[in-house]
Amino acid sequence: MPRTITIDPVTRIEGHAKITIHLGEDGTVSDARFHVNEFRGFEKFCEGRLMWEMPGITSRICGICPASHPIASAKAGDDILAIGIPPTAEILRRLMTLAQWVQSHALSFFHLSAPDLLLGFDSDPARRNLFGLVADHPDVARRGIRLRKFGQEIIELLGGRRIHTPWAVAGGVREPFDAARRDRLLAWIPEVKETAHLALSIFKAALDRHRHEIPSFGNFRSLHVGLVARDGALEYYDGLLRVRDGDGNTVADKIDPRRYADCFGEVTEPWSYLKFPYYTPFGRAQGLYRVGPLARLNVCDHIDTPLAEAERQAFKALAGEAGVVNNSFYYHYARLIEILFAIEKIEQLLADPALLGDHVRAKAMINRHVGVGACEAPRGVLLHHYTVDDDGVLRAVNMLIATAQNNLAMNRTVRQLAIRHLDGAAITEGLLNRIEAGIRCFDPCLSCSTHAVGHMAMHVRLVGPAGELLDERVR
Amino acid sequence: MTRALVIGIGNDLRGDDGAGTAVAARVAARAAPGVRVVAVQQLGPELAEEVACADAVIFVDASTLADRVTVREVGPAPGARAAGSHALDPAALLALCRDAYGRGPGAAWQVEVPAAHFEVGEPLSDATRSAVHEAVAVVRELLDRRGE
Repeated sequence: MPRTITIDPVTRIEGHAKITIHLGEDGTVSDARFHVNEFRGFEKFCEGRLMWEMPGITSRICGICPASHPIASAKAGDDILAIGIPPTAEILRRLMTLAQWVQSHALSFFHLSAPDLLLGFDSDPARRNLFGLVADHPDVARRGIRLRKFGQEIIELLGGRRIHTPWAVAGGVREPFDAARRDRLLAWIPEVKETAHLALSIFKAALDRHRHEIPSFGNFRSLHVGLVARDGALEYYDGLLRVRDGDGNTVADKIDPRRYADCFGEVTEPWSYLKFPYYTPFGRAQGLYRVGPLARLNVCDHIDTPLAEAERQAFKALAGEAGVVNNSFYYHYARLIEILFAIEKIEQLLADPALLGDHVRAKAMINRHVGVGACEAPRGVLLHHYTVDDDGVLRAVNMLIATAQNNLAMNRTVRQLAIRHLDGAAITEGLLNRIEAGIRCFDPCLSCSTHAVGHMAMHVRLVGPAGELLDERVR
Repeated sequence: MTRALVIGIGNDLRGDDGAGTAVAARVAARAAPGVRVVAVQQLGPELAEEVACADAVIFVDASTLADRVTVREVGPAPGARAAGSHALDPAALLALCRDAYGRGPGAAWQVEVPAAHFEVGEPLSDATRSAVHEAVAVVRELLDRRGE
């Protein structure tokens, strides 16, 4: 008899969501759905506003990614102005983007995922959180707090405040940097590098402990999409889109982000506000793709910082015959490598003499009616697409958000975990724990993707073929 | 060391949700030396170190439960949100300070501003705007009482 299990919402992710697991007549899992029930309608709300306001407006979409949206927005503005920005402004925007990676990845690993990895998926849910981590591993928890603070401090020193910074603008940034702030950030580097190495060692030590779990944590061949530099290096601020398949073949390369609509489409489902982007040349059924740390490390050819590149080589060894790493569990690993990369790159950028230049903004009038801005947000590639009139008033806004691009993959991950861990009709703690952990591999930020706010609880429903409620649990 | 830390919480693109940050902005405009004011969309663990080292902390947030500006002392207690989300509540943040750093601020208060409307892109409602002015006075009185 077909039934449905609902988990509503999911904990330790950002935003509201629930999960339903559908059972077929034979009692096995037939489908799994990751629902998103909140909608803030930012795209619609922005219509009629001036293009110039968008970095400031979009910085408020989410308190978790306050820097990525304004960077993508400012880049869309650059495109509308049809100008190149001053070199100092690009360095500063790159610093901001990397700071966003550090603070977001630090939160994801140390505060949200480390409890699973260090305390165990089957440990008491009341303790399997940041407080449990503090109790059992206080130094790890404190280091995680400071690593996130490092990223936040860069954002604050660049933009004047931690969130909602109006600093990035079309044509560049508002304020130049200075040596005192640079030196304050440089003083952090030894400590945060050590923390990044510690996190990598923690993760590697946990691999053996979870070796029986890992094969079912969203382990499937799929497309991987991300920006890469022109020489194939890992990119975070600029670059061109590359698509690789689950066997490591490059199926599309050097796609100008302005032409994203030629390759990526979105469909909606009546049961979720989160869109379902897919790679259109492969069709909806085969066009599932992943973005974010795992995908970025899969699509790049190398990393241009030495410590992170050495770690990437070890990461690639996990790929085996597939040529790319297809297991979503390794999002955590990729995230940690990206932290190390970001710290190395921040150190390089802070040492660049052009950092302290005075010219940080180019000015122009509206020169194009359409602009697209792309960058790599912590969770994956982020695109802002604006259409304006002659005065710069927005007529249409589209944002392709990282979490939405992972939507199909998250659904498939939940399905795989449910198949592995669902035992009969009972909703077990083990099932709940692993589905939560599976979703957390992607570190979804639904505040961005659906523009929702709220905090988490967990609600699980088991529903029969006619929609009847068979079982229900709340955590 | 920061002697007093005022933390305004909220999103000013969500109508009355911006009450906390509105209060923070007004307090910051006339803050005495030793008073640090920050505006955040939500409380994150990265604030723990700074909160732990402050003499006094005042959290200001919108509330759908309050029908007037209220102020109450708040102490460490792991909350439901602490167990799950990216965000903490004030009591959970204070608990994190205690557990991770073995200390907390000498005093902590939570100021709640009545809020009812959270539509995208809307400004503060008239009622909440009025309450914001009242909350600013409450925060300043708390700071004055401590000699800040």
